[in-house]
Amino acid sequence: MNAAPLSFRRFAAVLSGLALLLVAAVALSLAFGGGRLDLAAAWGDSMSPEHDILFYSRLPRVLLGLIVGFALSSGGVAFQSLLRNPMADPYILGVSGGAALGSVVAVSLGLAFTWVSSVAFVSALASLLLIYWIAQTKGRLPVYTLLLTGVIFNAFSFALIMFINSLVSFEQAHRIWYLMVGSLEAESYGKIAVTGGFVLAGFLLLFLHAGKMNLMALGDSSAQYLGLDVEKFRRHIFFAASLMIGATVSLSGLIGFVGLFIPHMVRLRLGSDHRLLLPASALFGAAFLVLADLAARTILSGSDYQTQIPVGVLTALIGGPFFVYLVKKPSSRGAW
Amino acid sequence: MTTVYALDNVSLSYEALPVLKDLGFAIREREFVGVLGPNGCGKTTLLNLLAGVLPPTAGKIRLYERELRDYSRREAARIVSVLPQETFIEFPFTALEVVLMGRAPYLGRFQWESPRDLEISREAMRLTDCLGFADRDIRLLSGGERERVLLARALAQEPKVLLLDEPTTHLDLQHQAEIYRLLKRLHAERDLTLVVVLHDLSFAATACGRLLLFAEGRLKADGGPEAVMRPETLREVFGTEVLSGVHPETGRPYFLPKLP
Repeated sequence: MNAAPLSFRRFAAVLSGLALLLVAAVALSLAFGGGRLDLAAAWGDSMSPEHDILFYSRLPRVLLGLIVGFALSSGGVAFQSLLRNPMADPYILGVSGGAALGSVVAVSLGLAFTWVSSVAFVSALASLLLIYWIAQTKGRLPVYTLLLTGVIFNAFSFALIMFINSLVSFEQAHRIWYLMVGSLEAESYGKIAVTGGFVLAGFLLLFLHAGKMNLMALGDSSAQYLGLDVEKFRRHIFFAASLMIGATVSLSGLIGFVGLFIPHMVRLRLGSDHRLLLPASALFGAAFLVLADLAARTILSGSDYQTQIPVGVLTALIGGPFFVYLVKKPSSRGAW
Repeated sequence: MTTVYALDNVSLSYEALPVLKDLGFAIREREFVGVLGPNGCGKTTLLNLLAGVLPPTAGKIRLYERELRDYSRREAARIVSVLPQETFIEFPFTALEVVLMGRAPYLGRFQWESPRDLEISREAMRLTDCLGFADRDIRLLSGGERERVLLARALAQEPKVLLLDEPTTHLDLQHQAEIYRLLKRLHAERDLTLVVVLHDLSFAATACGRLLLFAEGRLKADGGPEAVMRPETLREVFGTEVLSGVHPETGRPYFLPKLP
């Protein structure tokens, strides 16, 4: 921890460091994969097979990983400050489940991707409001009620998704399966641009509120005593977070727990000032997911299986035990 | 003297349940007002009304001649600060970061704390004797330490009015005494109007120039300690016999619940 308050120098230094880490992660993920790729050759010769692999397989995948990691981590930070609870995560709270349900409905109706994203955004927002409303009792938001509501909401959404899945064509069912496991399979640049636009808009809105997230993290009434219009703040955060979560889920499906453990790790190292925590988590989360996807692509590729693990499987395998650690660690004192 | 608060027929209900009824009183600049009354009589609600975070269901509250509901939250937070009763902070902020948040009502959207904001915050921490743990994790401080940090945060807002909700409830005797001394000093040295919700009748009689005694959402008595703290009034309001006497050293009255 740092006795001096956040200075611009520290802000700039930390974020440039993380940006460099992100660049390194991207370079690494472009160079490695099913096999080592000669980036110079791929760049120089547009007729080479390397060129096709780089630009039609790896680059879109890395870009998507970057955007999704960025969105999930900053979305996690926003949820945690809003709900005043370091355990909050869009996946655990069921908001991602709601967005997935919206996407699945839109996919099965055969809508174009921009519409799928928009439907996912609306259903993320609706799920968030619904979960918030269900979990709230007498003006309070008890954390166990909130987590339980998320679990039930997820189960309900998944049941509906499976129901829809049994009605649709084989091709659509395949798409739905990818949404459920969470994957960064190569997508068209057009779709990536749409998602990136949604995420950037949501992030800018969140970043405008980063200083206010500090006040909100102290609790509703303290935030009001310190001059925050809590209701207005909440509406903006709900909107921005849903925008980001809806857009990423509609393209990459359910990649869980990233919003939980990335902000936690960043907080341990950099403290809780959201003006730094928010952008730092976004960059670190982006680098993390790019590398996690590299691992997911390569772990089994040299083996007899000759296959790739969806990255959502990998993050859940890391995130599940991490959640248990958060619950059991002594310093949580049962107070969260 | 300037009138800070003027309440006119103020009532507040939660879901049709009346909490405060027909309040009409004024608070003038530099008064040190104690708010007394049994649990659940609406004392904390009164502080939230005065802070402007709860609008009254009926009646008008004016702060410095202007209706409180016409102030933006930020404007109000530059005039009135609150030491809340219970605060759980779940995030690893340092004590200094928490105090610096007292400067939030003065900061623009992209403005960061200036050296002056830092100096004001450190001065507030010096005053409440918590500068020594400025860089400690707020979650790991004891109740008394945390209370002093939160008081420093309220002072960093540079308020004209300080509202305190049972500032000594979680403190041991030594820290209670420190908070009392500090409040008296703040009142003497600064242009502060203090409104303190209290359970400690003896302190109220010693420190507060004026007491508001509440029962069941109504103002039962308003005046100096001698006028308000009559044995029969206290017995009626608190529903128990109260022993009182005069302290041999200070010459001020003290109060104890009568035990069988």
